[in-house]
Amino acid sequence: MKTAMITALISLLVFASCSTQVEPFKYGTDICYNCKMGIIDPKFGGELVTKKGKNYKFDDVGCMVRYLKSGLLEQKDIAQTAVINFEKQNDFINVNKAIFAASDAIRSPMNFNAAAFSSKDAADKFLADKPGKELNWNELYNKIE
Amino acid sequence: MLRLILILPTIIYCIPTFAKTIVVGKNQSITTIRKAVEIAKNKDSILVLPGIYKEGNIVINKSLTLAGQNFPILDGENKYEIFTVSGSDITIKGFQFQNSGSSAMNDYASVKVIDAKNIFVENNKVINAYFGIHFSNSSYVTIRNNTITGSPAMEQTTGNGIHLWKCNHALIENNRISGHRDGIYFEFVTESMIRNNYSTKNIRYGIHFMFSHYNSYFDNTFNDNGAGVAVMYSHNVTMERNTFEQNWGASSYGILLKDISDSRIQHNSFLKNSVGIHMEGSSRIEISQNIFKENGWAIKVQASCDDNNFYQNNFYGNSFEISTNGTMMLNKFYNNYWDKYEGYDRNKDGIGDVPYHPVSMYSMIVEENPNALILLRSFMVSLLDKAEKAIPSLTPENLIDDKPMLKPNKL
Repeated sequence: MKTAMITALISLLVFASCSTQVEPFKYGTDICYNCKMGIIDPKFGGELVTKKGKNYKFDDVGCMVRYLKSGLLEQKDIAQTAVINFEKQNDFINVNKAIFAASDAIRSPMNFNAAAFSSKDAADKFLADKPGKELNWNELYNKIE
Repeated sequence: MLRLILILPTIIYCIPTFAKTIVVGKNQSITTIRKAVEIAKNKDSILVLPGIYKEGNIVINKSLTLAGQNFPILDGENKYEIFTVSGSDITIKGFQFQNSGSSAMNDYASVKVIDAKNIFVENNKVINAYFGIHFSNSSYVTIRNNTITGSPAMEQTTGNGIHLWKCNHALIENNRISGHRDGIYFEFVTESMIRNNYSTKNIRYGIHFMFSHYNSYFDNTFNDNGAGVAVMYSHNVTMERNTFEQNWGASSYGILLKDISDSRIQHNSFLKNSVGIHMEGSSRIEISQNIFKENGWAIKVQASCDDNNFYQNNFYGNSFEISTNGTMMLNKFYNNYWDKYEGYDRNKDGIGDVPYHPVSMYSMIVEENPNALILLRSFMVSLLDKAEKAIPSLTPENLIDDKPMLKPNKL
């Protein structure tokens, strides 16, 4: 029994430290890995998790794209690329499943002015009374310099 | 005839404009501010007597002076933006704004000013607001002597104390701001001045500049904010005679400079901060006559910085003086006073004869591996540091002060 528990504990420790889960933002404490600004606006942001379990948090999806484009982290080492749901704080969406609304009516922390939604419906609804357009992850990625 | 032409404008100017004052109060004929604004004409004044006014959102779009007597209370009942202002020549003074609403989608403020010119917001108290005073697309504005106190339930449910977006020629002085996201926030703001403000206990920064050029801030005190001041993606910013103190925390700074150029940081005091100045991607900045005392790191200069000059600063009791993450250094250091300097001065000109290396070897190791900090005060580390000073190998060879002062510079 004792051995089983120790084994369980050890495996818990081992696996916990290698978790490739996104880590919720601690608003007011976390800083953006790219621009070094404090993360505080719960509507925006993104997170990269490497296969080794390191989390890189970003205050704006644009900062995440810029970091990805900088080449400091290789694509093959990345386990997860997620963005924050504009409508729900600390709700992460896989970038390939997200629909982005790019609009000047949005003021994101780093001025990239794109918001992520979990469905096309949600993005449609948001953009109904605003100028702007919908983009998928690849389109957004290519749009940001 | 000519004389008449000259005199005529003077006469017209002297004709009284019959601006009247409308008094608002419980026992007056007009009991609501909304009614007073509705009947007022340009250049009128509205005097609001003491009391509690719960009128929801009031839109002001005429040239008026609204003055409160003994701080009448304007309560937003946690639902409404209290004043929404646009136009020109408007003064708002002597009110207590409280409980303006908050919303995830709209930047509700106690006083929101949009598309305006010549606006004065002064001597007000703003309590428990989402955004305190919010200006966009305005010019020639003055925000003076206001006390803005936020009390957010959570870090992320607060806006900025004073928020300016796309403004120019703003003067922000003698305000006291606490409990907000950023004390003062500038985005696309130019040719403006921030002076004599006290910014404390804000969640993120005392002042935050984004894409804002040709601005200056001086004689401000930043105490116990998430970090002191963040200056990002801007140029020609003057920072003088400010006090940065007690900005403690893993990601806390006195000043964070990110992509800044052609700016000046002079005559400031940095006391007891985790990092006095953190700079990245910054060029052509004059950093002189500052005091750095008892900081974890006085200055962190990332390798992406070039052409900056550091001179006549005084460094006392900092754990690390300068640290960097590269081996190249394209910045100049001279005539600084370093309390850790152990050189001599044989010709008695007040300048040490041996150059000073402000980057300790161990700071390079900590830069690579922050956890190594735990060994900082150990015997081995001091030994390594001494060896490195004698024969530099890890630290940038050209990061030296070749004219270190023997006595502190007189500031």
